Amino acid sequence: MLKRTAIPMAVLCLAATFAQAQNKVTLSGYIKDAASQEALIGATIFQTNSQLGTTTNEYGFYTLTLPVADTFGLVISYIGYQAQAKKVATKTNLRLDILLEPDGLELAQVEVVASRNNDNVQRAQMGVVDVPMRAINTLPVLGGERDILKVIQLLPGVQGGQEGTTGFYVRGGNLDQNLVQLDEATVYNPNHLFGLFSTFNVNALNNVTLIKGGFPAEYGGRLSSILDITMKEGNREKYQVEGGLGLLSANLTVQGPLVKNKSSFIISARRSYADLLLKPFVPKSKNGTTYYLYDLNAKVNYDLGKNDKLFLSFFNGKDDARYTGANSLNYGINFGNATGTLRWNHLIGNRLFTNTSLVFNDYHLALSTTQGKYYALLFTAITDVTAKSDLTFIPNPKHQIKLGAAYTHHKLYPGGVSAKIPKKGNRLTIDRKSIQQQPSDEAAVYLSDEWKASDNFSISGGLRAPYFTRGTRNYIKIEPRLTAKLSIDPTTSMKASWTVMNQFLHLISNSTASLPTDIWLSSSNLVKPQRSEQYALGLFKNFNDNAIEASIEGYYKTMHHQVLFKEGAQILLNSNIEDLLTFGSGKSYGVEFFVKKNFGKLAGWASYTLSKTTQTFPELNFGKPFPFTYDRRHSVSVAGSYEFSKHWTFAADFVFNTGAAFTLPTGRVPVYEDGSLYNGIYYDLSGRNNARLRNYHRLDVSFIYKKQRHLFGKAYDSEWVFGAYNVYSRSNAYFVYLTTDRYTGVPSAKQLSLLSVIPSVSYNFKF
Amino acid sequence: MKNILFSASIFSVLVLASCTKNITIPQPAYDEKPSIQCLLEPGTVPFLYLDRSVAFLTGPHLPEDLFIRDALVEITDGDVTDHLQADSLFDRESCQFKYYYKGSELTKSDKTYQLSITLNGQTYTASTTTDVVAAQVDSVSYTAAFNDIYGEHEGVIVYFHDQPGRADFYRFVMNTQVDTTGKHSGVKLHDFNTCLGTDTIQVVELGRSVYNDQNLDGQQIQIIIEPAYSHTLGLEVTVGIESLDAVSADFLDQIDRQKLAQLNPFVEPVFLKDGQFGKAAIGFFGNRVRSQFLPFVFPE
Repeated sequence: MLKRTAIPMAVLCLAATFAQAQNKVTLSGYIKDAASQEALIGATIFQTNSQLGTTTNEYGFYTLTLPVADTFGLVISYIGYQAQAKKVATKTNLRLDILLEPDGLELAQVEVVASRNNDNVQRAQMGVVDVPMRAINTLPVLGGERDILKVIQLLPGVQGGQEGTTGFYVRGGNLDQNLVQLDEATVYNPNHLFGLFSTFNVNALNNVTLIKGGFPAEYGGRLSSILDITMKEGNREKYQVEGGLGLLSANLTVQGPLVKNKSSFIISARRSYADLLLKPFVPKSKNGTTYYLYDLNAKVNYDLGKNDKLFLSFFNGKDDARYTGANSLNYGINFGNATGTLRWNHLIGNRLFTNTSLVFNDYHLALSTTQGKYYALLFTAITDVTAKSDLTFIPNPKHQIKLGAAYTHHKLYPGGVSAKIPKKGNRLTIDRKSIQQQPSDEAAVYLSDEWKASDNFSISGGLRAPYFTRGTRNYIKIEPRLTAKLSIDPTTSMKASWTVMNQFLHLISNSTASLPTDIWLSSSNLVKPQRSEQYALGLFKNFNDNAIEASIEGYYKTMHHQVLFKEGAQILLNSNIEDLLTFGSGKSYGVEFFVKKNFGKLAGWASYTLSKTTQTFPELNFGKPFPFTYDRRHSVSVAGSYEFSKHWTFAADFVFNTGAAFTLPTGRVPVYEDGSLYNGIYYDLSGRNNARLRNYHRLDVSFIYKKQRHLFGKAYDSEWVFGAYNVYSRSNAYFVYLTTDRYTGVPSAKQLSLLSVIPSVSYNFKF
Repeated sequence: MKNILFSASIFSVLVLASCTKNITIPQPAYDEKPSIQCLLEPGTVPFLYLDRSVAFLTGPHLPEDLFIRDALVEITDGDVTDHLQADSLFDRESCQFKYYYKGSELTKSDKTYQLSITLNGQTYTASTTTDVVAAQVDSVSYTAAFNDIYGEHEGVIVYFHDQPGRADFYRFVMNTQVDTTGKHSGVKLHDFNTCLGTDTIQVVELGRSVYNDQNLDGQQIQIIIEPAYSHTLGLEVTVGIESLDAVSADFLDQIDRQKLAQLNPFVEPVFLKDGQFGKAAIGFFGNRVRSQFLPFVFPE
């Protein structure tokens, strides 16, 4: 019955909106960087007298339908670019491509007050943060390596994981509940160097958006966040070379036109040289310490015509490390991601934008680690092939309709083993060939409309229907998405959202090991899809002509069919991992305060999150709720930069988090009839995650010196970055482990701290 | 460039040179409770270990400080009540005194025994029926290398027959000899045990795993056990099987799995469940019976 009425209703709705558009004119086109013709994602265009406007999509495309008039006064703006005022005279639909000039100095904004973007207040979207590329380029990070994930950890509602790592946890969700996409391809492990910095080379990136609530219907497959990263397309105007040399790695990016104004390319590569530098200091034995990483990004685009564009992008990153040192931290790790995306943008008329993509990605992680007399091997791999098509229809400024479909074939290879180190003979080995493959299929269709019902009220509603099948087990789900916005005045609005999400792939984490002994599994008969329901309410307010954005968002999220290992679970070579799992639920709620200053010499943000996340598993913790490992009651971050002069910029960030939860035995009991191999001391564990590590805090600073120099008569931009990570050398806990003195039976706790103060210097150039 | 390379080297070393330090963690609130452990064995007098559990980080650790001396401990079969008395014995194997309550009445088979412990006005009770049946050991052999959940190790292999028609639980037992030249769990004994002289002492080794006869009812069962103490070629020992009642087996299985999780950081922690005494006390009151022992000579 529902189906019978829904389809005619949708057709009627579309017909009505289309009919409504007949006395109007549609302006559409791309907004690009004038210097490079790089697409500007999220640029704003609006008519000055009606205040009707829109923003460009992830390909830099916009379409704006306005009531017929003799001329249209338009303002086009984008952070870091000179705002442009334009008068356009047309009575018919017009293709209008716009080029924006970058500011000579990013901070010296042209003060076109009206041009400042107030999308954060006026759009029916919440929980969406466009990560400023300026912050990524200036904020101090470990070893002088610019890093998007470290910046994301500073945003409200986002918390970091262990000391120094780039893992991020959004609104009480686990690591696997973040969908990290690079040009639509899933990156399952976006880390380098044991997670100390991310796998994304910022020189190759155009745009980074984090969505943590109020998810649009086009996104799915994860419960907690979407990190959508778009690579640059490549400079269409001229060849450009930029690079950098840091303490950890060197990088080089080359971009330029292939066919003038028709096609361009970008290739960006990065490689560490710790392995080369450390060679003289470490033994030559195969167990010595060594490390290397690399990543390679490449993208080509080609205009097939005015209405068709092709993009081919590729990414490959790999880490290979072996470390033999402290007893508690001996390991070898080899992991890598490879992705490839072929995309076709097609315009149908001037209001219908389509994107069709074919995506491939492959991820593997092989970990061998030794702690004390025990070792563990883990191998997990995922290969995905995805085909998807998305359609955006903007019949008039009041509606933005999106629909699409996607299909993915997954192949997962989960395996692991842990055992005592043999006194003689070889350890067990494990690889992709020795693990039984888990094939599965995932598909989804969606439909959404962002409807501006009146000047003050907008609503964004959508429905996504994912389908998942593995073997004989099928799951069909319905995910409603709803966000409503009520404007109180032009700079103030209230928003509310309700979203339902499902997740069919699961990362199962060991709760005690200090390294990422995590395994990906797909849903099955036993492992049900994770499901979350999130309610959010927010107040958004801009000050000082939108120069300062402020918000307060509260959220309440429930998570079902969460997965953890059972008590005593030990992965053996031939064990069925699903038999080791136990299932429960989670709950997270909190309030996030955020204030951001986008313009001026001083720019940055401050955020405070007060939150609580608990999990309840009938088979764990006596069935009672316990804190999620990454539950942080208080989380504070302050990040900013100040431009002293044309040459010097100072940037700093400070982070404070409540310590992570861990399981500490509360009592100790002697047992006399136990096995003779053991010491007769046992734990009385009264609660899972019943204790906290020390509070985490850290201050990082950097000074950036920019100057234009000349080489062989040719000008180039140079940049020295001097920084220090963890300036006051806070000994933050990487993890805590317990030992019992063999002779006295006295237990003690030891903390491993990974990173003290670490100075850095790096040099960047751009021709 | 040279400076950058030098700094890079320093940085790499800094990153990789993690530091470990002892830290003070506040002891979570903990209510001490009695720990009661008693395995009745037909033909022997009862031994009962009665200690207190203590705060993990701050509690005392010497056996004499853990032992509860002033309890009233009684075991009765309905006809005869045995009043157990506090006693102690110096144990050279662990190089410390062991404190326990000892009875005077021999335990009989096929009887139901009630345990009653009165302590500080509170009474702890449990019962057990001594109907556990001894296994029949068929043979004993040896393997130099064997892989199981504990990893690769040598093993003494015991073949025995299960008693049909009932749920049975088994543990390995070996009577062996130890001197200062040996090792315990790979560590030289003289490094931590100053009580052993040049002579040898007799010890009873208990296996660390409890096995059951699920899907093997009435059949021959084989278990392979890693000896706790090192041995020399030609060392003569006797090997048997200890049958346990379900309650004792469950408790001992929990502590075995917990110990594995304590030692192997890749194993999830195991919480001790409430047993016969509920939340009031930790432990078990059960019974066991041992099989006949077969002689065995280590081939290496």
